Amino acid sequence: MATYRGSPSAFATPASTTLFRRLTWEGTVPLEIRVDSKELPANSDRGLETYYIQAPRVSYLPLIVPELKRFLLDVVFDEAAARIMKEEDWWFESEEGSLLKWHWPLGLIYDTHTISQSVRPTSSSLSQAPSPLRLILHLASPPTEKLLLAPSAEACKQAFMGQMKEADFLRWGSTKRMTGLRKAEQDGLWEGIKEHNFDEYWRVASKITPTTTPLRSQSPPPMGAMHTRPPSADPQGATPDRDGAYNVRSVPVRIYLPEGPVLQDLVPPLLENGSVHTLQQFLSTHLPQLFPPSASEPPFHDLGYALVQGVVTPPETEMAWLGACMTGADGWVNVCIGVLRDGGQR
Amino acid sequence: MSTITRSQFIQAAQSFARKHASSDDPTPSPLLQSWSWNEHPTFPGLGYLSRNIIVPFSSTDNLPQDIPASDNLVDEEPDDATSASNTQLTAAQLYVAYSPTYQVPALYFSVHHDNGTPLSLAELCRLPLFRHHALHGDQVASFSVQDPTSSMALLSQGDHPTLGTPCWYIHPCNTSAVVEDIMAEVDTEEWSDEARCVRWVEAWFMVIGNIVQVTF
Repeated sequence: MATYRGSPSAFATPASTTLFRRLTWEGTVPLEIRVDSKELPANSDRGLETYYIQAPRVSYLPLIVPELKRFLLDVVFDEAAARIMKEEDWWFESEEGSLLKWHWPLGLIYDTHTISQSVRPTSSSLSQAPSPLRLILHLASPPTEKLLLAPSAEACKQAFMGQMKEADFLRWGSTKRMTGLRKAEQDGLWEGIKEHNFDEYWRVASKITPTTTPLRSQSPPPMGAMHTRPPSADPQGATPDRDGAYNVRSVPVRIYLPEGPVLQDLVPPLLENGSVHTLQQFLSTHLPQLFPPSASEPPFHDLGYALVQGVVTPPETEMAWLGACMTGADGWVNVCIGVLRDGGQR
Repeated sequence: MSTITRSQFIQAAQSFARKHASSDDPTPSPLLQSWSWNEHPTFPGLGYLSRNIIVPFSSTDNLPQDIPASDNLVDEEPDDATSASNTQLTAAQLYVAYSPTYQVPALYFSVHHDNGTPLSLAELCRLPLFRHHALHGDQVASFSVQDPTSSMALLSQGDHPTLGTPCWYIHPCNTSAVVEDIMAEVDTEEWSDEARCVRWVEAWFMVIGNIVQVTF
């Protein structure tokens, strides 16, 4: 896993913003999917029933089902099996028996698996190459009480739209930006994910995602200017950046713990004392036992690490920057917390 | 006040549950009673209210049928036996959990047939759990009930904020504006902050009571 340095606000140029958005978009995870051997239909070509895919982090299980189905039909199942196959009964679980959610992005599924491994006795160290996430595909008897009802791309799209609207609401206190989009534009977001087309997705997303502008202008304020200015106001007279990352009410962030609940709280881009809200401060506020506040004595080391889009994120990263440059396609910053071994060494 | 903080919710919801738990609670509204407070098994600060109810579910259409005139009409007994056997019982788990996005409580629920299968959205909408007019005029899509006057679905699927299990929920946007109106009417400076929050939760239940009912 790579370690990127989050850009300090003064250096967040449009070019670097686009770079990180593209890196996030192009991120993939290795999946190894095999049909449960007990459910392989008779006359299946055994030994070939495993499908390998390097899948986009921003995609979803229902969106890879079609190519998986093509593979199984072409290579594994015979005609009789193909006729009785019912896609709507398909469901996935990890090798450890965790049920996979249809409405979670693949990157999140992968990262939560990584952190759940970090609390198992035989966990590998972080510096090893990422290993494929082994999934078992079941063809029948979905545990419907534990899954969203419909494993279809349409249901997934609805869930995705709901998440976009929630992110919009958190940032701006209303969903006006999302609802201000024409239906074709809203659909364009999902189409961009389906086709894995960065430009198509960002053509629309750029209208609703916060922009990155320097927190303080590089030039000195004019004579007689007030000392307190809205952070994104440009003293040279350009219009204040209403859509700036530092102007959001709250960055849409969720914390995922190994085997634990999903935590969500308001994440203002700036703290009450005016300083920029960093990842370290965010984590030590919400998980002080894993991330001791730096003021505590004696200086304690962090007992955990934070993954965002699979990247071990440095503590000085600004939450506002994450919210503008490293969100998932649904607008959310998913912070997955793993536990460090060996007294804090990675 | 249109929103409450999580810690206000935690305090107020527990007080609310205690207040309406005792048998000499003068409140006539069954919706306010029988709620219990639950915590996440390992993580603090994620508590929620819950209650379980049985909801009758009729598998036949409820529309009245015109009895066709017939010369051969024999005196027919009212078909009680048939209608009784078409009514099943479903188990509904109701939860009031804090929505961190909208900063208000939201009603989450899941309903199952007695064989354990969850109800489809179409079946859900026919349950007497929902007041008759509540879903009227709304578009029932396959995966949510849309309110044409608002951008947010009235009823959608989502994960329970604490348990992570799939549930249906009533979108908080639709409730908090009305609660704010109610509180504007009744709020008085004499209330302590704690009492005000409990009243807020009660006002929230009043608004929810326009959409769901727990006696049939």
